[in-house]
Amino acid sequence: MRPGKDIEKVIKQFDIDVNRDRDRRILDGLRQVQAKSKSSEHGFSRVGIGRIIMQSRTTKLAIAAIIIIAVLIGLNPFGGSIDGVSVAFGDVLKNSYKVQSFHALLNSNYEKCELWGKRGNKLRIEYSDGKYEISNGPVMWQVDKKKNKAIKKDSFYYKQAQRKGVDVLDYFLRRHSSEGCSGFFAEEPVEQIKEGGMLLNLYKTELEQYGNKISFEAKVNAKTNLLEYMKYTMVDEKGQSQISELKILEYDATISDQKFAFKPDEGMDVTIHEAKPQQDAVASTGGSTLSGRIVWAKNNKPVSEAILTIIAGKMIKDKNGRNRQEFFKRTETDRNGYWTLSGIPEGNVRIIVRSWELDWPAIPEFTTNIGNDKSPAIVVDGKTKYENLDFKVYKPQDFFARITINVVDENGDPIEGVGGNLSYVDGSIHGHVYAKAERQQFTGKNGRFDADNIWPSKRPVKLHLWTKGKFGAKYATRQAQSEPFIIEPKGEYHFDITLPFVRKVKVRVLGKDGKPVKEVSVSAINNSGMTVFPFYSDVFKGNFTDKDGFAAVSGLAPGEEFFISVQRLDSEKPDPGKPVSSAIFKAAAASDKSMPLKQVVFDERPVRIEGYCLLERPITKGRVVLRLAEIPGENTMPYLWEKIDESGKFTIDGVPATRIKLKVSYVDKKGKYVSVKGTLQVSSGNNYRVKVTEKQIVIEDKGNLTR
Amino acid sequence: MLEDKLLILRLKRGCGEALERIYEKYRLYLLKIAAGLSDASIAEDVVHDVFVRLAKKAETLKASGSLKAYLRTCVINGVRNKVRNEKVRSYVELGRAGEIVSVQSGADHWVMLREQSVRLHEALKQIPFEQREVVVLHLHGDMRFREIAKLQQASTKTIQSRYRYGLDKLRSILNCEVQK
Repeated sequence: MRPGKDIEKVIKQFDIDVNRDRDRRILDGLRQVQAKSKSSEHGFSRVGIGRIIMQSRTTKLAIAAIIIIAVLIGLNPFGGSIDGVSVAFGDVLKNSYKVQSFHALLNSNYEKCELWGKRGNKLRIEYSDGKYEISNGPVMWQVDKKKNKAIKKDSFYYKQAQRKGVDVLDYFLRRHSSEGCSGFFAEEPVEQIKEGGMLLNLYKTELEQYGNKISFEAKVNAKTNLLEYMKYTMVDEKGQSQISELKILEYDATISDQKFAFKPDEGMDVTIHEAKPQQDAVASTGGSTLSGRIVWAKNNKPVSEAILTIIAGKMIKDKNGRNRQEFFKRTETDRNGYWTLSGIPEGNVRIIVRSWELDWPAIPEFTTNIGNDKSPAIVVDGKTKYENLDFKVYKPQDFFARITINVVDENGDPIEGVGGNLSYVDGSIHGHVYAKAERQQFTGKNGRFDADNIWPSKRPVKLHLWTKGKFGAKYATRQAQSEPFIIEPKGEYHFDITLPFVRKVKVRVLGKDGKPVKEVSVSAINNSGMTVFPFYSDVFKGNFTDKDGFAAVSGLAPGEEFFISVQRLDSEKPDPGKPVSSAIFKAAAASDKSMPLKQVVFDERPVRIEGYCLLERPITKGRVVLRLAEIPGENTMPYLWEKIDESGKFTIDGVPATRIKLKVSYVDKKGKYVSVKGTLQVSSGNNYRVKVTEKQIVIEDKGNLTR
Repeated sequence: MLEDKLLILRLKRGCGEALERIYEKYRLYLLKIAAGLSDASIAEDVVHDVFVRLAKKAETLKASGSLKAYLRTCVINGVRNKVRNEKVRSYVELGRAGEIVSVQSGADHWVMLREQSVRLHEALKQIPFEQREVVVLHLHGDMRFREIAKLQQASTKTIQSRYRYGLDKLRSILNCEVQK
């Protein structure tokens, strides 16, 4: 029977549902709150860097640009060049290195501003309401002329540019203003147009994503390959639109440095924010070098400026006391899709390639010896170079697989409320069978579901079914799993399933005198040692024989072999984990729907094991676990367990009279968990004294129990 | 985790989709903790308030922090404030649990306790709040004892004791119900 851990299991069963209508209304309400807070006064209040950044129009454009850039990949691949001079959009943005200055107009949701940028980390943004920002090197001023206020702080633009290793001018023009953004810039223009006396390459796309309609347009000078104009429009499902429009007025105009200087007027309210210390990732000397390439899965074209995050090294505590890995760095792919990063310490390394505006999966082509396809990881030695850590990037429509299932019962009737999990053959989880609208999908009244955003797997997985409500109460779902299969990108998999009803077995418990035994607990244990009946939520209700010695067990699959566990519990403290006496019997459920009767004879004479450990004192975190030897395997569920006190003593009551496996585990002086195992044959009515040494567990003595 | 950091960044920029994703990802988790610590109506109020504050004041979120821990702490503090202010100790006999299910599953309610959880919920309310907090936060909040110790400003040993006593009390409450 189950040990005291059952109360924890029962508590873990505590669960809730939500009223779906109310849920949706709450979410709608939250969106309105969010929208209202966005439209409230922006600007130059005295708050931290983060807030100002959020409210900066320039950042809004930057965000829009990130979306634009990511969305661009939705273009039909052009394939060739226009007039021999077109380039991928990513390379257009990189052409900013050619210019020394720019002058532009920005229209962000109908709020206009004028911008100037000059090489040497200089940027000036003037808003139509009289506010302006000047970023010159590491310092930035935010000025509100009307309120006669100015704030001096670290320049966000400079910081971000430094991280990229570029000038602020490049950083701004390239729109890479956000961490974690990877722009996939492999696409090329759709046509060439003439406008304003210039020949322009037009980049254009329209896309629908998460209910939003997004359109993007960029015009690039075909001669200079410099960006001239960019417009991004997003209309959400409620018809509310966001627009961001950048028009370059001039490149390389002479702009005086005075434009980027600022001295507060006398009497101006000036706030100076202290410079924050740099928070760099822990630098490591030496270390491994990792390198690889990222390409589009569809056409093997390189993905330039994809961002990889590498997390590695041992766990340390950060300044807030939180655990994190010591090494955390980012890098980008070059125009040919190659990336490299050095100084990686020994240990587990996770590599993350993401586009955070659109969820495009990047699948590792190398073998991940740990981790999985969604979070690939490898182990490095801190010295060697690891090459060819390549990734393939998929657009969602080229990637996700589809799983449909059709479930009926043994009578052929559809079953509602069946869900599915996908797990690898080794038991680790691959994921739930997701649907679009909800995280978990269940079969409807027609017994079907259709999930079309299933993550492919490189290793074989199995589909496991489960039903809502008490696990295994009506249908035998424990064994409901498919054969292993590999989920291919865009694969479609259909399963027709018949879920059998659970099988029941009637048990009659008689004493050695042949008379019925009442009020003993009867449960069913499967071949993994797990109690399958009574169900977890009913463990404390128990399942007891009536006055004629009858009880039934359920939750079994057709033909399933199992063990009946009969226990006499202490009426003063009926803990199913600590019986007074117990016995185990083999049984099997019927293959058909019949309910066979299994009659067992319960010898209630108790069996006790008293142990002492000849191990180094004090015994720390010592416990002894008893398993049934008839259930093969090392990791089956325990039948009984007890703690070992510091002096090394323990007592187990209610031991079943059968062959048992004992495992004693404790923490040794070096802080490591150590265990000792032994197998014993015990019989009813006896008290066993066992000796535990570092190498074995042996019976030292045996005697009759007197109670 | 990285996904959360990206969601925070998007949320700080006013992305509605990010708000929706955070809501879908964490509302059940937070409601379960809050409901375990108090009753359904307090749980609804507290979690709703947390999300409203998130929608309003996303800019104050730190991108470097743990979103899950932040939301959880907000809920825990919210419940504590409500419970201490209202001094709610709803002592309901387990036999009345059936009534409570029907009240809570009314059309206006957000949270609905599953049937098998009602008895446990009532049992939880019968143990001292500090013990209840430790049990719920450890088993449903995925918090380690030392994290709870920091929260309750007690030693880890004290938290472990509270946990043990809480479980013992729950076991005996539920066993008494079995015996009835």
